[in-house]
Amino acid sequence: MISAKITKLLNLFNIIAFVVLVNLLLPHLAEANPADLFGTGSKSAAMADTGVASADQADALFLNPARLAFTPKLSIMGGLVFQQAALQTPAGNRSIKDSWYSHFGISFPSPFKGFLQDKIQFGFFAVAPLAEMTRIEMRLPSDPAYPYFENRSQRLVLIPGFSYILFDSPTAGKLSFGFGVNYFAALEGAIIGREGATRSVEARVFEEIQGKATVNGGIAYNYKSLHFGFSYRQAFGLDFHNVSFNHIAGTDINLDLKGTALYSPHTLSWGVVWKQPRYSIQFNLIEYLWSFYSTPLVSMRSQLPLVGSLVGQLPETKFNNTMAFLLGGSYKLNSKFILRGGVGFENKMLPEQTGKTNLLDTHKFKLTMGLTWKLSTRLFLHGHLRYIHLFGSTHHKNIMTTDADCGTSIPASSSTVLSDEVHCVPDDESTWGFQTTNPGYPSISSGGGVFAAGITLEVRQ
Amino acid sequence: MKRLLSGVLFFVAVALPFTSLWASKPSDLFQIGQRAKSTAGSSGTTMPSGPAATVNNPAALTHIPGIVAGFSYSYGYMGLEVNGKDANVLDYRGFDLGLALPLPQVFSKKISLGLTVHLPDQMILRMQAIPASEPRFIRFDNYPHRLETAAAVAFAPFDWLSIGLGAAIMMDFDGEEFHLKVGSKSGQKIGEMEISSSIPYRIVPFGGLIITPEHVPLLRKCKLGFFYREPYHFNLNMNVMADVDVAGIVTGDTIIALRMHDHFSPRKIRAGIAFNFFEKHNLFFDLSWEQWSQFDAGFSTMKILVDLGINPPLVESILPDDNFRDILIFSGGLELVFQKVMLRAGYGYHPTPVPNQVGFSTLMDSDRHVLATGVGFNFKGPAILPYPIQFGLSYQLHYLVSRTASKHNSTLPSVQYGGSIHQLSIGLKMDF
Repeated sequence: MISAKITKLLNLFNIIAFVVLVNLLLPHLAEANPADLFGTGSKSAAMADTGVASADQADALFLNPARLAFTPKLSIMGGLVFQQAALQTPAGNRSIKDSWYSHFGISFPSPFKGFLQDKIQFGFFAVAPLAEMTRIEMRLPSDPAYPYFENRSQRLVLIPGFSYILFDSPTAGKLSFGFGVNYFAALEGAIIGREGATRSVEARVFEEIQGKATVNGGIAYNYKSLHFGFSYRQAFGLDFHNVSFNHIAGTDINLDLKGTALYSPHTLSWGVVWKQPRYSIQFNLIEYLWSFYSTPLVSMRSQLPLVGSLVGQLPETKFNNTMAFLLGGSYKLNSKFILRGGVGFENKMLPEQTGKTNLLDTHKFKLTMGLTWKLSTRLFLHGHLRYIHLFGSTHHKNIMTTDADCGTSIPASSSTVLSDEVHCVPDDESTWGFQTTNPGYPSISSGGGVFAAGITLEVRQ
Repeated sequence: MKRLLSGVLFFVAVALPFTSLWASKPSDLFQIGQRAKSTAGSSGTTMPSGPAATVNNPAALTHIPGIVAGFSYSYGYMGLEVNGKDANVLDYRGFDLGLALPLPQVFSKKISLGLTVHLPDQMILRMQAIPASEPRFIRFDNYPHRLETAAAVAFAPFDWLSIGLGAAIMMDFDGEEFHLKVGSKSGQKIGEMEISSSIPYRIVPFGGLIITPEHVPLLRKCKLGFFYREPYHFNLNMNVMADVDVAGIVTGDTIIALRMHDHFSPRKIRAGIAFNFFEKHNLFFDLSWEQWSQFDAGFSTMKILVDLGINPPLVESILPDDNFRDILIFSGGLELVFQKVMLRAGYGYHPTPVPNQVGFSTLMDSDRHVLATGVGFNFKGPAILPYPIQFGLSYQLHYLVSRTASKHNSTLPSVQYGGSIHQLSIGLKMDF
């Protein structure tokens, strides 16, 4: 009997060793913020990313850190996600760079004894693109772009955290809170170039990659067959600020660049689960506070020969807060397989693009499904499929023409209006009428779809 | 089982977050682990303490009987001077964290995992380049200031042989395109920009082995260690292009291209031997070869093209090769163990790889003597953490021999430099 238990334990250890080894030796198998777009592990992703009140793996650190207290004593997860997107633009469909992402997570109890014994559960969750650690893509204001999808997933995401059990009573239920730290980096620096003693341009470079951390927090409460959860994820963006001062042949060439890429907004999530032995149904309400995001564009100041000093005036980009409604569920087919599914809807974060910018977004509908295969008492394989449909919409530009008599007055610039780029010359017919190089004129349509699929291997004590 | 779970605490919650930013240079200069620090690095190849084995020689992970977690904080005062004045080199500060995790045996063979992190408390990574004509302490201005994380797996195919392999993921910064549009359109000034850049992964492998020849009479109380590491340097590329279009006034481009290499870690081969005497005490000797001749990170390259109707008379300089040489580093150390107290000391000689700077540039580095000492205490933790704990304290003095860079051209000033570095470190190691 004891021998059999030891054998089982050793098998478990070997599986753990395998999962840990694979994820350590292929360190890109740790995840990034694809979690926002493509889900965490396959288990919650199969149920439309509902997990605020139901997560029971290390991905709870993203969904609701308090749920870490509801994981088994030791739980390890690791897997892959593939995505393919077709986002509609005037130049054809555009994809999201980095097709493959990986995730890894572990949850384990603290070594504390005494009054803290069995009260604290630690965990770590990570997501990463396989091809690169981070990619930053920031576009010109008039370039068509999907800020919701195009450059939010290409970064490493690292979330260590813990949860604490406030009480666990057979009559009053179980209540916990938890915190995770979303850790990454910011780039700050300066480059100074001027003719040096060699008479060539000599560079003086100061660059620092600084650590940056934001907080995920939540509470979770289980009472009989009802589970409740609430979580907050602080906004996170990769900040960079670089200045370059160059003095060449008596002329200044200076640049000051500033921006925030790979942005995820403040996020508030509420969830409830009704759990029965054979099935479960859950509902999540998620609010994304996009209105705190100032701009996806690069702020620039420059001093160039003959041009002089110039401060780029960025068009105003107004983001609206959005709500996501997620409904998920699971059904136990038999002792080996559990079927999962879900649907979700999220409204768009950007208003109609009537001016210079072509930042595209639409209402989104999400359909997910998945299957869990219980390979043994401690080993589970989760798989999922997901399709996000972007409802089509068309943005019509408002235009401002010059005076009918070709007057010299210059139209005031506005973020919601497209200006005439070539003022008319009375003797030149080719300059009459409204002229623009904006690719969104007279209208630009958005829409498309994102397909994703993934698997997660889970080992639990 | 509980011990395993407890140990994983540090492994994951603290160290794993940094596994994707692996490197290895600060540990070359100041070592990781209290035993390695207090023996001037001489114990690193054969008997690194606990999780520090991951960086020093991953094969030693199989010699750790249980789960061990470690933490230390180090401060290094950079007392370096140029021409008798303070060189203003940034002090070295940072945390070391680590975990050694033995796994269940496979086919009756030991397998262990290890993870070590050095995290500077001022920044994750510092890059600094100055013009070629200015003196620079090439191995001390930037190199201590970077995140260093190593993960490794070790196994013991025989009782007398342990093999360890590690993989390190470093990174580059590839600023493929910083594209500005500057000018005027519709009577409005325009200044807008698009960016496309990435931080790709770079893998730096390393490995080692330890032989314990217990069946060879003369070497019965010895350990032989060998270590190998591939080279690495950080690449920074930035391409900035400004399209200038002011109708009727000026039209053209300005291009700024920057290439920079930094944080060079040479290919390294290391061999060491540890003698055990009077059952408890140890004597260490270590010899390292570092391939600094591959160094090509002394100067950054910056090119500027201005095509705006004016063409400034720019000269492109061609700087000579750095011509660094490979070096052999020797170190020796001693550890005396008295029940709960350990006393350690060591000495290391680090010849400089930098040749005489007789030309225009002045990359400063000189032969370095490292004197180290340290003490360790064993005790049991408080009720909330009732595990065996070892407290360690170490001190290192790095004395840089005074050196003068005398120039062939008498119009160039000679530069005299040298100084000392004082490193103090405290640490805790906990056995679960």
